[in-house]
Amino acid sequence: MTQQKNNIYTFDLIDERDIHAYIDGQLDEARLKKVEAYLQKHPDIAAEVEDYVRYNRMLGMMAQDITEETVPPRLMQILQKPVRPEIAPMAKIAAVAMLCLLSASAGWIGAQRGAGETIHATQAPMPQIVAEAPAAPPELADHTPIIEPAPVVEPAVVSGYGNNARMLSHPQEPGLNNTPAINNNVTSGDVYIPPALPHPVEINAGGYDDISSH
Amino acid sequence: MANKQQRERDEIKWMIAREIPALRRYATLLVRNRDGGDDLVQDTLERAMNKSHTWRREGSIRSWLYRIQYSVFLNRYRKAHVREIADSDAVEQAAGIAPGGQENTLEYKRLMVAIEKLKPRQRDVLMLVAAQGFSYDQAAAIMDVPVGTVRSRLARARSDLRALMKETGNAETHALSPADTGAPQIHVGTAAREERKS
Repeated sequence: MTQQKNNIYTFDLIDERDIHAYIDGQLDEARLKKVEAYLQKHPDIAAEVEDYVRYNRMLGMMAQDITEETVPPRLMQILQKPVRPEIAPMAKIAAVAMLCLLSASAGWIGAQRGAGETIHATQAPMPQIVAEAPAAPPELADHTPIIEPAPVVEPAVVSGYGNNARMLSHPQEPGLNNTPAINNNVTSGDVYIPPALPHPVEINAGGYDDISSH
Repeated sequence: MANKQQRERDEIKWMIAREIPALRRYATLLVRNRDGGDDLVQDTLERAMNKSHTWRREGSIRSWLYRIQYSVFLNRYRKAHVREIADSDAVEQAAGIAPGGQENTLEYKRLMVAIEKLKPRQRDVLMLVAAQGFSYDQAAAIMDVPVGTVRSRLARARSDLRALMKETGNAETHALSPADTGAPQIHVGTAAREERKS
């Protein structure tokens, strides 16, 4: 008996949050009785509770009729659309990492094969490769890369690197800067920086065939 | 196999479709405007369909959908609603979502105005627990906060609401006394006069 009296939960320590839990019907039977007894002793709080209960009731009516309306067709139609599953962020990261790895290894293999004599086109179809202006005039054909600001090569376009030779044989078409004339000096900065060529660029048709064959 | 997937997808669609009326109400309570509410539901449904594979068949689908809707609301709609709404707009908005007939009392209109002045997070919890009868646990799950946070926000929300109600109530009796002279009045008073006319 004395133990019960000393227990702070036996009776009086009802705090504000209990009162609110009472209003929202979140109390178990035992606690509910205690709060009710407390409210009988504190009419000022009981008046407050009365207000709160009334607000609850009014809020409960707010926009209530919407649930009985017919759902607008435009909302039902969304359920009929084909689903585009969202790709998890981790999957995206993995895909990008894979792409980087592929392009890096392709560049390395190219460097080994060319042995510094041929131009090496980066093989991997990286989505953000910046194309150099094709068919650089002879006086610019040294090591100075010409970086065009815009053209981002679409992966679909970057397929045949043998095109380089064809491109160079058509110097009258300098505007085709979204054609994949790819120089290994110019890549998008954050993806892959291939080894610099030790010699001035030479064109070696055999080199292209060699590279594009694998 | 494909048949089973198709069946599961149809089942989810059916379950989601059943919840649209409830979602519309919740959206309307969040943005307190009918058209805005349906826009929010549309965004919510699109998102839910695209991530329906994350639905784990645990708990109620309503909680899952409400969770999505609340996060869409916070990300895309809350910013557009931060600006303070004038009392007149609040009353006008409230008229769009007011209960019909006798329930549309003067006190209800005052409540609509007071609701606009609450802190957004406090209002949100009130809309879940008080307006829609969610338990504290469910509200906590939907808002992605601890239950203790729900309880303290709720206590603050209601006592602030009551203070605001008393405030406008006093201003109103003052404004309407004694002969309704057409002196500057707050909009709630205007609404009251319109009500008496009709």
